[in-house]
This record gives sequence, structure tokens and C-alpha cells, in this order.
Amino acid sequence: MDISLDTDLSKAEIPDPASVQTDWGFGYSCVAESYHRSVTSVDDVLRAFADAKASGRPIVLRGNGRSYGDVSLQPEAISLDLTRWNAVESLDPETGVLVARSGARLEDIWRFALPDGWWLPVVSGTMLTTLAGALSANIHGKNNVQSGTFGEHIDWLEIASPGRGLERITPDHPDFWTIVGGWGQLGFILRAAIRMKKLTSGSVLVTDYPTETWDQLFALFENDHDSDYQVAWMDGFRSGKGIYTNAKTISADEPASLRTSYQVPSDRMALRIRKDQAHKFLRWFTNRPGMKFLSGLKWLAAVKRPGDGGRMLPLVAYHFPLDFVPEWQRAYRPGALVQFQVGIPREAAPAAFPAFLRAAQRAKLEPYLVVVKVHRPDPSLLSYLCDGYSIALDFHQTRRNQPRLRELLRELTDLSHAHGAKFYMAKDSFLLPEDARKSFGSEAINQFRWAKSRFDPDNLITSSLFRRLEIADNP
Amino acid sequence: MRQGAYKFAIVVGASSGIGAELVRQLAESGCRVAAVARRGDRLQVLAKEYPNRVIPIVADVLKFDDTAEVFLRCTDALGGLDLVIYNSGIMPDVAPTEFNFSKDHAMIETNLSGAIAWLNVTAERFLSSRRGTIVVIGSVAGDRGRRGQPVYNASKAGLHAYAEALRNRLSRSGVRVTTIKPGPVATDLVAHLGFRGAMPARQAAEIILAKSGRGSEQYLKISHRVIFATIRLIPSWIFRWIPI
Repeated sequence: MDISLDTDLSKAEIPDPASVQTDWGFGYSCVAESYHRSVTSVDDVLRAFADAKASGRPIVLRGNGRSYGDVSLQPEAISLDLTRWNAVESLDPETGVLVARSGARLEDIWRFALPDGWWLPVVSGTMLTTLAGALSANIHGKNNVQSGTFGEHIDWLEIASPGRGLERITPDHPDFWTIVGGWGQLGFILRAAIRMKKLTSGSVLVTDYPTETWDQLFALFENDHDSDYQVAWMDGFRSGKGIYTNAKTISADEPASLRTSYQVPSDRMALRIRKDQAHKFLRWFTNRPGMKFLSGLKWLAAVKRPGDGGRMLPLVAYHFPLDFVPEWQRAYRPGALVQFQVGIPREAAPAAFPAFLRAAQRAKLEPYLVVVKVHRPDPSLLSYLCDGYSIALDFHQTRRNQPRLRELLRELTDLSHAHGAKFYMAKDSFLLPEDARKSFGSEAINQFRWAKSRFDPDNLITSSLFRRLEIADNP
Repeated sequence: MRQGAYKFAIVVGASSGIGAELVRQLAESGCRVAAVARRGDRLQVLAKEYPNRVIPIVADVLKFDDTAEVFLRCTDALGGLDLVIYNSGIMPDVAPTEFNFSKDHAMIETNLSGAIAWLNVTAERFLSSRRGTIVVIGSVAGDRGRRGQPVYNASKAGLHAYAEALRNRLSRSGVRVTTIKPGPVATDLVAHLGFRGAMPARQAAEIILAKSGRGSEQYLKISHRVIFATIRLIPSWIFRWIPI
């Protein structure tokens, strides 16, 4: 490893009140103030470890803040901000192996690689995730069944940990799948090598299929064997109604479509409204009647063009539509966006998903957005996907409905456990330690703690989520 | 004050009077409070009244070199910070013909220098985090130079000017700075003056918290606002003949 260590670890720095910043979870449901330090060198990371050890002040790793809850928050901690550690270092034109520093966002990576015909093998619903975030959460995309999780496309990663210093880890290393999907609890991932996917076209063929019932939806998922991407939007107010969407990459040689200018959509929407102002307009609809109306309209629009041979979309516009509506989550202000995402085994999902919506409708807290995806199990130690389906429910939390929403989330969690569910920490802000034990299994948690005791024996790295769930405490 | 309006607060000068009441009411509203004062025994009483809500921090506001460290201890113990109330103040008995520098210096140090030390470090943090509320407990005595308490008046007038400057500096950063100017309140501070009709400390604390987010100068009563607006207009050559 070409990393120099030029740090005097004997002198700890006293945190400066002027470095305190307020960080929010993406959905504005969690907030914490911490002492920010921007990482621009490996020495910065090692210095932070030394300061944390000397001062007793914990470290929390903070990327671009795309997790919904408190996974990258810890009040009064040293917050290692990796957004400036973001260079894309190289791309091998023969093998497609791209090396980037961990603060590089998926957007930085595709902008670097796509003009040469390379695309990320797995992407989240936002391109603003950092590479470290993608690895720590072991993110999945709409092609989870076809391509697995992000970590399954990594050749190696480099990590700096308080207990073991700097090391390069490959997938055959026994701790690889503890670090990938380890929520940044074992150390600071410095850089990684990603095996990119070769493309000749920057477009995908997208086809919508409206559904009237959940059975129709599951039949569409099960019988679709030749799509590259599969996802469904469901109406949270009318159970079973939704739109199943699949997409296929184009094999034709279309070099012009690989250009960034083709990929990035206009910054204006209908009536020439700037998209970065759209959240102000959306706010008028961020209520039950408004969302019920918009959901109905979306479904009706899809009915008008059922399976019509599809439409061509740029990859970026298809994968990250919300990123082009900047700060869309602010439409939920002054309340918050709380997402409940859970993976349910294949055989249980047809019963569980309608039950979730029934519970929400009974509580008059219908989710404003429902997304269903199909999955295969992920190889992380703290695994969150199973052979089956996941459902993500977006709820609007207000000061008034907060207690009722908490009750509903508890009800949904208990229902999920009854169906053998697994929970996704990137979205969580309310689970309890026993939920984590049920989701990950006690054995996996004990193994994780064992790894933690080797990589971070003094528990320097933490987060509100891990403290809440009592996962990372050393035995 | 709305229930749960503040989650984490520091009250400096918390061992008795208005400060202790502020701590109690914040704790009752669900807020975690770092109660800072010299008298640890009194802080322990508060901590016992509200276990897990009130964190006693024994510190002397006159130890300026320690302020940043004590402030860090408070924020670490709290796990965040929304509100800082500077309530420390002394008003020793001063005879009409007494010019005692050590008494005067102590008043300036506690009432003004201590506030500057605490609120500078608070302002630095709030400026960076771009949110927070600072409440400065001033006094109606700072509105005019009265013959009875020249340096107490001066210290509070200085405090008001400092708080106003802080308010103007921080207003664009989403930080609110509120100056409260209480009149007579039934506390240890004024017990020796034998005020009649002094407002109970509990009531004063309620009003202070209710007005804490206003980001301006506030009196505890509307009548005080009217009376002191009038008093400020009285020419100095008349004011010197008024026995207050």
C-alpha cells in the first residue's frame, strides 16, 4: 500500500466548538451535532483515532448523509467527514476495474467512467451515496436478483482501523463480509476497486405494467426472467394497485448516449419550474388528500400506456430520478420522512405486504410512497436481504402524528418478525435491540462483536444506531 | 414554553433563585439540563429531584481559563445543545457613599466577564451548527445609571449591550439571542433589599422560558416595559433627584 504514516499520535487535539455542525438523517427524523473533521489524507484518519483514544470522545463516520436515520450520526462525537476524500483514481480500460477513494459519490464514478462505456454494476436509488456508504451499507439496486449487492463487485478495499492499522482486504479475507455491510463500525474504508460493467449504450428500455392486485404484481416479478432491472411502485392508499416496471440494457452500439450531456435531464420541469424549487410546490401535496390524488393520477397515467413496447431512458435518469429534484425530501418539512424498509421471504411476502398496508390504512397513516423489489440473499455478516421481496414505505411524520406513527411502526415491525423479516439499517431510526437480534441473529451479532474487538478494541467508532441497537458493544 | 421545545440546555448560575427554577421547569418539560454553579450541594438537590434530567456541573464562572473545558463537559454530558441561559449574577449590598473596588470588580467579573466567557464559546458553537438559543438574564437596573448601585447597573447595561451585539452577529445564522430584564424577583440576590411585591422565582422562570425564543429584549411584565420605557426618557438632570 502506498500510504505514508506521518502522524505524531501522542498529541491529542481538543475539539473546537467552531467545528460543531448539525447533521440530519436524510429524512429529517434524526439530528445530531458533532465535531466535524474533514478527511483529506490518511494521516487525518489516524490522527482522529488517536484523538478519540486520548479524549474518550467517540468517532462517527459521515459520508454524504443519504441514510434516512441515525446510522451516520452520533451527538458530540468527532464526525469524520469523508466528502473531500473523493478522487476517482483510475480506470483500467481493459478490465474495467475502477479505483476510487471512499468519499467519491456514485455520481463522480459514473461521470468518470460512462464516457468510456463503463457503468456501476449496482447502484442505489440515489447517485449521491459515497463509495464508503455503498460498501458500508452493501447497497442493492433494482437488479439485485441479477447482480447481487455492491460488495459482490469489489476486487479489494483498503481500510484504516484503530486496532489493525492499514490493510488491504480482498473478498477471500475472512473479515471482508463483516466490513462490507458493517456500517462503518470496523474502520475507515480508504479506497476500493470496483469491477465495472461494460455497456455500449447509455440507454435502457423501460416498460410499465399497471397492476390491480398484489397477485398480479408477484406474478409479474416471478415470470420476468429476461429483464435487467425490476421494481414496482405501489399506491399506498389503494392496496394492490401499482405499476411494475422492468428495464433492459440496450446492446446496440450508441456511443452518443454514453455522453454526460445525454444522461443528465433538464433542470426544469413542467411550466418551466426549476426542479430545485419543486419541493416547495410538492409541499402542497404532502398530505393525505394530496398524495392520494397524485398516487391515483400516477396509476391512471400508467394505465393509459400499458406495456406499450416501452420507452428509452438514459441510465442516469432511470436510476436516479429523484436526484434531479434536489432536496425533494424537504417537501416533508416541517415534519420528517420516515421510511420503513423490510425484506420478507418469497413465500411470506404476498400475505405480509397487503397486511402492512391494511395496518397503515387502519391507522390513517398511509405511506405516500411504496416501493417493492425482488431479491436474493446478500453475503454480508449483518445480512439484510433474503430470498424474496423487500418493501419500502415512506411515511410523513408530523409533530401531531408522531406517537401514532411510532405505534404503527411497532405494529409493522412485529408483523414483519412474524414473517421472518430482515431490516435495512440505512433506513432505520426506531428499531430496538431485540429487533436487531431477530433480524441478524444472535450468532451473527456475536461474530460481529468479535470482529469489532479486533478492529476497534476501544470502541472508538460508533453511531447512534449502533448504540441504540446494542450491536457493536464489545463482549 | 412548548413541551419539548428544548432538548438540551445549560443553565449557568443554577443553584438558587431564578436559575434553580429554570432548571426545574426545563427538566419538567423533558429537557436534559446541565446545571452549572459553584455550590455543588444545591446542585445535588436539583439532580436528586430530577434524576437523569439534571446534570450537576460544579464550576466557578470566574475561572475564565476553564470555561471552554467546562462547556465541553456540559455538551458531552448532555449529548447536544439547544439552549444556554446565563443567569449568574451578584449584587452585594453597597452603601450610598461606598466606593469599594473589590466589590465592584467582583460584580463586573461575575455579571459581565463571566457572561462573555460563557457566551463567546456558546456563540462559536451555535454559529457553526447554525441553530440554538441564548438567553441572557439582565435586569431593569441596567436601563439607567441609578445612584444606589452604580456598578451593578453598569454591569447589566454592559451585559445588555453585549447581548444585543451578539444578537446582531448571530441573527443571520439562525441563532436567537434573547435578553430578559427582570424587575424585582423574590430571590437570595435581592433578599437584603426587602422588596415588596417581588415576583416569585417560579413565575419569573415560567415567563423567561416562554419568552426565550423571541430573540429580542424582553421584560417580565408589560407594565415594566411601559414604566422603563418612560424612565429611559427622563432627562438625567431630573432622574438624579428620583430616589431609586
